[in-house]
Amino acid sequence: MNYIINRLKKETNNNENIIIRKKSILFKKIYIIYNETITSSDSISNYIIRSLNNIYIPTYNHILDRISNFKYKELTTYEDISYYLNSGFTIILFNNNKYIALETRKNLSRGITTPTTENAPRGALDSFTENIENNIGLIKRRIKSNNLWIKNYQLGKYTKTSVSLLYINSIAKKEIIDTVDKLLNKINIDGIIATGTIRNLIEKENKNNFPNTMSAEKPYTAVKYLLQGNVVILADNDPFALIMPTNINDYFISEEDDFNKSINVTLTRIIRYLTFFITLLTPGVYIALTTYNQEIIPTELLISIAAQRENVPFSTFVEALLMMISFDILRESDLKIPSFASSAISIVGALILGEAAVSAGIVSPIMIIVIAITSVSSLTFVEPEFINALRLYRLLFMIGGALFGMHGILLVFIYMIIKLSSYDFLGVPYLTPFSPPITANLKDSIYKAPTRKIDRRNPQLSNNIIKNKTGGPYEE
Amino acid sequence: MKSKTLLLIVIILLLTGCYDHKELNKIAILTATEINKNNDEFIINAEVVNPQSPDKTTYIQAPFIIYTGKGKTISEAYRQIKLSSSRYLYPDHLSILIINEKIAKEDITEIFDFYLRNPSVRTEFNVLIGKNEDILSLTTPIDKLSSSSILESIKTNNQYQGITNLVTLDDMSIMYLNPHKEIILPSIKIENDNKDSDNIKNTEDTKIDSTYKLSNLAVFKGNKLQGYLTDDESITYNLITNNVKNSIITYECDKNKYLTAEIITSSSKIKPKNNEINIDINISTVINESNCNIELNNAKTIKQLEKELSSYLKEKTEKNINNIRKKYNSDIFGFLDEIYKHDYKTYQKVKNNWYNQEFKNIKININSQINIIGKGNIMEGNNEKN
Repeated sequence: MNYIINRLKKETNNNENIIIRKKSILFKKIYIIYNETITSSDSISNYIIRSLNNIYIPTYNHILDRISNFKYKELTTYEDISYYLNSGFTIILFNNNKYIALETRKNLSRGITTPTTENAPRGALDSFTENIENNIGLIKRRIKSNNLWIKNYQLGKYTKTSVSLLYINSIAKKEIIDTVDKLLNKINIDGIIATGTIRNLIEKENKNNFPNTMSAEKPYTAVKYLLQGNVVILADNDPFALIMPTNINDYFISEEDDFNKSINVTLTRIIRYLTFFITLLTPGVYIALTTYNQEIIPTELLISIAAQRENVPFSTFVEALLMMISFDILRESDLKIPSFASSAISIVGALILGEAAVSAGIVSPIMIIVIAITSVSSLTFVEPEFINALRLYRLLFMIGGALFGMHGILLVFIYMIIKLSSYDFLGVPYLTPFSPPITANLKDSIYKAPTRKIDRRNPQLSNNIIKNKTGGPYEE
Repeated sequence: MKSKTLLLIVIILLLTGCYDHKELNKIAILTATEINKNNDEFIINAEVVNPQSPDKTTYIQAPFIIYTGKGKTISEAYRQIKLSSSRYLYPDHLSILIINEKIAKEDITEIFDFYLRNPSVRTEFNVLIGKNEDILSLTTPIDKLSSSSILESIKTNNQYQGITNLVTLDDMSIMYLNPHKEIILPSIKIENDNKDSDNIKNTEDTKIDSTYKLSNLAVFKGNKLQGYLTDDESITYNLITNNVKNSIITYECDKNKYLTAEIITSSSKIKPKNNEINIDINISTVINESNCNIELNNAKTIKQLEKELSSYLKEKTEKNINNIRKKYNSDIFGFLDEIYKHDYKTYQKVKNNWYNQEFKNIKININSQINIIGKGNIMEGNNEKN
């Protein structure tokens, strides 16, 4: 007992936050140890001290029996003691080799609030918090089945972050779970603070700059993907769940698509796929057309563009690059700045970068239109990683257009398609519903079939592919 | 290995990129060219767009500039223009080529070679015969560029009247290279050409002094201009060659009373058979205007009217074809081509003295069929008030 206390004092450099309290039950000495920064003194005095006061027989089993704390752990080693002490447990040292850890955690997390990064006008409004148990609870609330299986890990040499791998056993593919399980067990790092770090540790990070996992703030999203056979990784202290593996089509699907009529959703999807190509190609194609392939532009339009470019001193590529960079600076600063100052940003953005740049003769008005449609189109996607990936390819398209005209655009496009189609993560090819074509998923891509008709899961994600056996519709 | 590949790619990009890079404010957009000839020298008027930003309205420049160059060949003349222009003459947007009558009367093939040989020129621009000189410098209202104004009016006319015809350089070379066909080209002239016609002042009045006017189709034989068709003959030509989109037939149904039928659809077919040429013309019309006392709500009278119109059209067409044959002796309809395609035996008989004898004398049967598919909102004709 003394050995443990001495070692603890030595390792923590006599940390004053660690309280060691002596107590005696019928001449038998016991020690109560806790860290006051992460424990709630209320529960210690209410449950532990008070029950100990009422215990008169100093045996280990008797204490275990009579203590009114619900959650406890029986410990045997010093390492366990150290871990549970650092996780907000109160340790009772009874005698050599018999220790009890009692949960007295202080509630350090905020409550469940509305999501801040995902906007769903119709959906459920709860979001994940920093507390992993709450997060698992939010998912469990929606899947009331024993088939929701959870594997727990402690990752990080210092942080000892609890990480949970969630999947629905009867749906998810065993190979995927085994691979993820193996990869998670291999992780050996100082600390894990966010789920994104886990993603970067288990795959080749820069092989493809498009994201292959999705971060979800809403339990709704996590549950939806669990039901498709994806796995979800939760980490303590991170309010974002990591869904993997995803394919490109997943980034075009938004929550309200699930409960709107499929014909309307199809039209929205067409717009989303259109914005994908607009935001990728517009600046590049504009550069290619106006500096190489002027013959493609109708004469009237060409004259109008030429008139606007008449006084611009830069080449079209430099002009486009300037505007692209200034928009990205604006977006970056808008993300970082507190909301009370954001009106200043919008004034600077609208007035100086739009109006004044044109009248100063630095950029042409049509370039403002090109950049505006490009950047607005890129904001239709929720995943920030996806928007950033599009930015890289947009730049490549601009360079291709500036070097070779429309020919260059075609070359970069071929490069992009090769890159995307040759990439797969956990056995799911990135362009999955389109290449290789998977009928089950094509029904929920650009075209969304009525919900009753989407009756299969993606065979790459699940071996149990039949998901819907609903009978015929209501007919009069 | 990987870095070597990367280096190669970068080198390829740097060595081959940008070879035909041209910024929009470094090029002069050539939209139309007019070619004339004087003392064995080509004179070229090139219309170049003068782009003006829409917000600078304080002083008005002309919307286009005419550069003139002279030379023994067309390319020499074009090069000379570059002496007086600050920018590279960008030919891909050339939409109109006006060839002066003088060249057309001598030898139109002189201008072919340059435009067909040069890979940077698209051969889809329209070719016209200019009856005056200096047509392009005319300022036009509404459509600021004279070239686009001319082009649009040819298109509109072809669509709604059927007197002119759109002929691109491609079409023209195909007509020329076909040994059984002759070239036909639209023509244009300026009316009331005066001192102000190339000034912006020309467009300031509501009654514009000098305007261009689309003229009739020019008939060629071989490489020489023979003359121009009349309006009626032009419509006949377009009807037979299936070029009419929309036109009208005016028919004298009573003494000094006229009826106008609008052609909605028309199709015609030339069928050579046994030394004769049969032409089927099928037309659907809608009565546009009727000043005659015809009961249009009566099926019988409509039948009757259809018959009358058909025979009128037949008569007119026959007359026009015979006129063209007599006046120009030029096979613009491509009768020999049809014989060549469908009746090779006859072709071998007639090909040697086609123009000497056969073309003038070959029998042409016209079978015209007019259907009235609409009578308009008013049922009856212009009856006298009882």
